[in-house]
Amino acid sequence: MSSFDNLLYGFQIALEPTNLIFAFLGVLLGTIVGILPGIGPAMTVAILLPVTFQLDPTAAFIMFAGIYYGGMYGGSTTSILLNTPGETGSMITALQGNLMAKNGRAAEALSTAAIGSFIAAFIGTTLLVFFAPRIAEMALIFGPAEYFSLITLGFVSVASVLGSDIRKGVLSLLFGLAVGLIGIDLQTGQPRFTFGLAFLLDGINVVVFVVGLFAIGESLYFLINQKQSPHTKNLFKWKWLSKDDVKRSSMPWFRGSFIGFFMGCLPAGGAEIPTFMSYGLEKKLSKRPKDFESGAIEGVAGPEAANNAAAAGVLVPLLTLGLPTSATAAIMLSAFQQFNIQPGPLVFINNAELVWGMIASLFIGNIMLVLLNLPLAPLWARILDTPKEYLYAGIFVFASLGVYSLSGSTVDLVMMIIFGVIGLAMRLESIPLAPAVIGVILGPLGEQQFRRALAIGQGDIFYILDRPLSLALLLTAFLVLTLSFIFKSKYKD
Amino acid sequence: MIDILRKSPFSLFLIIFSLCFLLSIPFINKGMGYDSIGPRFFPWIVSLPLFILALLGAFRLASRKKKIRHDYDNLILPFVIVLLSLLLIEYLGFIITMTLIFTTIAFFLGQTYLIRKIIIGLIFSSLLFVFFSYFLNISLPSLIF
Repeated sequence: MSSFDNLLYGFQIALEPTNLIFAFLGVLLGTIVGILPGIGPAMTVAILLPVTFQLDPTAAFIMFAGIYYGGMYGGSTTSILLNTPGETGSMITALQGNLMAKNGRAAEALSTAAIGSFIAAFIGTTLLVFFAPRIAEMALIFGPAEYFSLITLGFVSVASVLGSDIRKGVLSLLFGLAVGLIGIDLQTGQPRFTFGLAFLLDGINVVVFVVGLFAIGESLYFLINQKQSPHTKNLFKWKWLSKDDVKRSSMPWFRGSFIGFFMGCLPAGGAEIPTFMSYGLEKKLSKRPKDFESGAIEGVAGPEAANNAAAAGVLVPLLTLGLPTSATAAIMLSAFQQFNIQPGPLVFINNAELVWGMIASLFIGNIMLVLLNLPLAPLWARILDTPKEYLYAGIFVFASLGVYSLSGSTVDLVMMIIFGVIGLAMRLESIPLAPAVIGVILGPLGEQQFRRALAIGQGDIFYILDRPLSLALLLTAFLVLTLSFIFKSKYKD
Repeated sequence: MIDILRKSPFSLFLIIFSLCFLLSIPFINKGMGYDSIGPRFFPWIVSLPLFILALLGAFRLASRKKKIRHDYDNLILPFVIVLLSLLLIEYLGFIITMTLIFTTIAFFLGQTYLIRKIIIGLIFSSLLFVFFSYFLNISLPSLIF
């Protein structure tokens, strides 16, 4: 079947009434939670992840897709109105959007962000439909050596690109890899680092780790920093975009979409670099560069489109290679694993209903989101007035509920609190959380592939370097590390 | 040591964590089969650089003079209450536990209107209980239902 036929099949599944309800529930929950200040898409997805576990896999992923895009939409509202980006990809939106809001143009900034997100998600998802199956076919030639090298590239790029300091990124990644080692060794069946505790034999549950690190860590951080947290003012006043605003926004929407998607596809992608690239490009191409000092509409339209297109782009390596390149993608991978599905080249064959249903629901969710976000903007803006004490108390309760619903185990709740304290300590030292999450998820997979490659090569480590594709991936990893080191030393300030 | 703990708690945690790992590696059974490197190889590859990097990071941070003040007093009591409540969830039931957690966190973040916070916590927890138990069929410990 061609990609188009597959997509039609996906629509057939996604348009079933029950699945439509789950898609709507997903976008609604994603928007509501994503809009709350300080909660980025990664945390939105992590908190709401356990809600989907009781559903059948197709419905769960349709709802999950809605949560993913809903979280992205919601995050931009908070960035513009309160200047609190929930993740690094929204930094430019917060910077330029909030400047616009302070100048009485909050509604225009919100509208250009919402329409830009819609266009970017539409373009990104369309490109995903046609690119992902091709890449999945190519990935079928990957053996253990290539997979190990690809995972190494993922580790290197995530540790060096995310965060301001490579040492901190590596430290976070190594911590995640170490946590991933706990439990029974998959190759030999021997327990490792269980210290005689039976509950550690199954390893650390990724959801417990993620919810603890993100949600509990953030709440504890707010508990000790509440006096230093700035009081933010909701700057909302509703107005539609003028003709001039549409004219100024239209090209940045398209440029941002393409930059975001293709950068997001790369194993060293994520949303941080494309949003900065789009911002730089729009500033350079703008006929009114001085406007950027007080908030230019192009400065919101381009980066916000890039951010949303990158969200579709990261799904390409995630679905075709099982490689997450952002924190949100890492959490989505853990969702797949909860349903015993391993994303990779075969997922398009073995789980076609689920994957194509999910992709089709991204289109449907996107339409639902723009219909929900534009006319109901005043209502969403009111959510921002939720007092922070109730917000963080609610996050704590929701996180505990989610973790408890996984297995009904008090041990998991205690583990969540322990990881929450570790998340707090990481925040205090500005250590990025995403590399740790990716380490926990991909570490065991990377080790397995490395040992399989060695077994095929009869113990010869040069077997990995002898294979051209594997060597190319390792050289790219080396290049990414060197370049990030040079760039980060040069632009440290 | 206290200086490191104050300025770099995560690095200190990582030093202890990686040290525990390093000391346990020799006790991992090698197992049998076709595996040429065994289950100890990766733990060495991960734990050793983790230990060295954490150690370097801790000393680098400890030598810094800059101090950021955090209000740790506001953390200990709510943390203990939350932890105890979660440990007792099987006995207290979902609604009471979550009301306790909600009220504790909300109260320590804005120390006014305790009764209002208890009522909001109770309503919020009850709604979640009903939604998750009856609509999503998730088994939650019930005491009052």
